[in-house]
Formats: sequence, structure tokens, C-alpha cells
Amino acid sequence: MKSLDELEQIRKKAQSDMAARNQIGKRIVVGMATCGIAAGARPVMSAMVEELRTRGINDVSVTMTGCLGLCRLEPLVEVIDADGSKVTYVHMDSAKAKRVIAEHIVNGIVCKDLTISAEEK
Amino acid sequence: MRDLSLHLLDIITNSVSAGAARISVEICMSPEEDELMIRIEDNGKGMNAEFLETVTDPFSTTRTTRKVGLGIPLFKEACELTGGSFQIASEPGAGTSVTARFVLSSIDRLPLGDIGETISGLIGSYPDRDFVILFSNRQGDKSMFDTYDIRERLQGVPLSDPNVYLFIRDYLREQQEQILGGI
Repeated sequence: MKSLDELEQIRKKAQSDMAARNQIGKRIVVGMATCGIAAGARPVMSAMVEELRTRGINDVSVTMTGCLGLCRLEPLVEVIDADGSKVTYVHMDSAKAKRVIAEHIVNGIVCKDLTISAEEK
Repeated sequence: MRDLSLHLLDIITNSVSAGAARISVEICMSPEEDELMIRIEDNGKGMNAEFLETVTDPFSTTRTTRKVGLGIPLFKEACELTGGSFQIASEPGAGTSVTARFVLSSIDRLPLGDIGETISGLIGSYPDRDFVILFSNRQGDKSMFDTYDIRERLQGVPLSDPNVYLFIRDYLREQQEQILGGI
């Protein structure tokens, strides 16, 4: 059984990581209105957080937001760079989410075939 | 929606939009009464009587991207399909409470789903809000989770930390399994 005491370890680890962390880099936003939830956005968010932890990345935030306005393309994920530039991924699932972390977040290469512009062609 | 935890996620985002600082969720299973009760209470801005009347109508929404809002109508339908009852009470300036009572044994009752994933996602995304989760059953087993305790223990480490997210998700999954079983 998990115990709340485990938070003590998480706190210690986070505080030592924070000292080493330079600044928040990229932000990942998952559309989580009725449309996104019904299309499967929640496991996408979970898969992204898991993959970040597996890879030991701690300067990327993953949060949910409301309707991004393109319900037929849900689940939608936006990756926002520190400079504010944005890539929108469409029809996401857990496997694609892990790929985006590996290729886009870690290696800096946009997964072009998953983006909204590939979909709209 | 495939399960009730997804409906719950959707309904709680309404509380977030209403500016609630504290959102509590109670899930109580009573096999003797053949009932599964889910209640969401918030201290957000509330709704006036006029809006409250229209809130279960799919063509009523506060969103600006489109003119339909399906969160509450879908949850209400999922509840009433089982023969259960659905209520919303609200007071402007005080908050809103949504209570859904499902007939536990109904073939049309959706499974409860993954409450841990619902709540951890919300906490990570809205770390400045307080969330309280209460699981209970009629045998008297109870599990209470409050982000106030978590914050105390984390001493400044943000609730949006990925390790905190995963801990909360897995902790609540275990509590749900223990108190409510596989419903």
C-alpha cells in the first residue's frame, strides 16, 4: 500500500532537483473539455507525465486546459516552447504521446506527421 | 464517456471555471440501498436561479468557442439511464453542489473508472486549488484525501511536480480499490 509518507522522499528529491534546474523549458497543454475527455485526452496526459518521469525530465510542465476549439481533432496537445512558439498535435493517444516526448521534447524534432498541418492537408 | 470518472473530470472543470478555491468530491457505495452516490461541491461563484434552470439543457453553456455545453447533460443522462436521480443546487456567491445517485446494479450504470487519474490531472493543472476526495462504503470504511495535507508534507514543492502527480494518481487508485472495490 502507498502511504503519504512517500511524499517525504518526493519532496527531498524535488528540492534537490530544483537546485539543479535552470528554468522551466517547454510547456505541454492537453485539451480537456467535454470533447477532449470523451476522445481520450486523460490517458494522454498521464502517458506524457509518465514518460517525462521515466526520462528524468523535470523542466517540462504538463497541464490540462479547456476547449481548444477544434473538437473533431481531439485529443489535442500543444507543445509551447520557451520562446512562445507552438506546435499543435491532433488525434493523440498514449503511444503518440510517448513519441512526442522522445522526439520533440528530448531531441527537439517536431513529429510532423502528427501535427495539425499534416492532418489538414 | 466511457466511465463515471471521465464525467467527474468534466464536471469538476466547471467548478474550476467558476473560480472555486475548494472542490470536494464524495463517492459513496451502498449495496444495501443499491446505490452509488457521487457528489461534487465547490465554493465557486455559483449560478442564479435562471441559469440553474437551463443548465441541464445542452444548448446552455458559458463557453465561448461554441453554443453547446454537454458536460452536465451527459452526466445527468448517465445517471438517469440507471433509474437514478440527479440534482444540482447552487447559490450565487456561495457555490454549487451536484449530486448524482446511480442505481448500483443497473446494467446501464457505467463503471466508476479511474478516479486517481482524474484527480491527479486536476491537481497538477490547478495546483492553487484545494481538492478533497472522500471514498466511503456502508461497512463504514472511509478514505479521505485532502490537498491541504499534501501541501503541508511537500513544504513548497509544487503539486504540479510529475512525481507528485504520479504518486497522487497511484495512491487514489489504491484507496478506490480498497474502499469501493471494482465497481
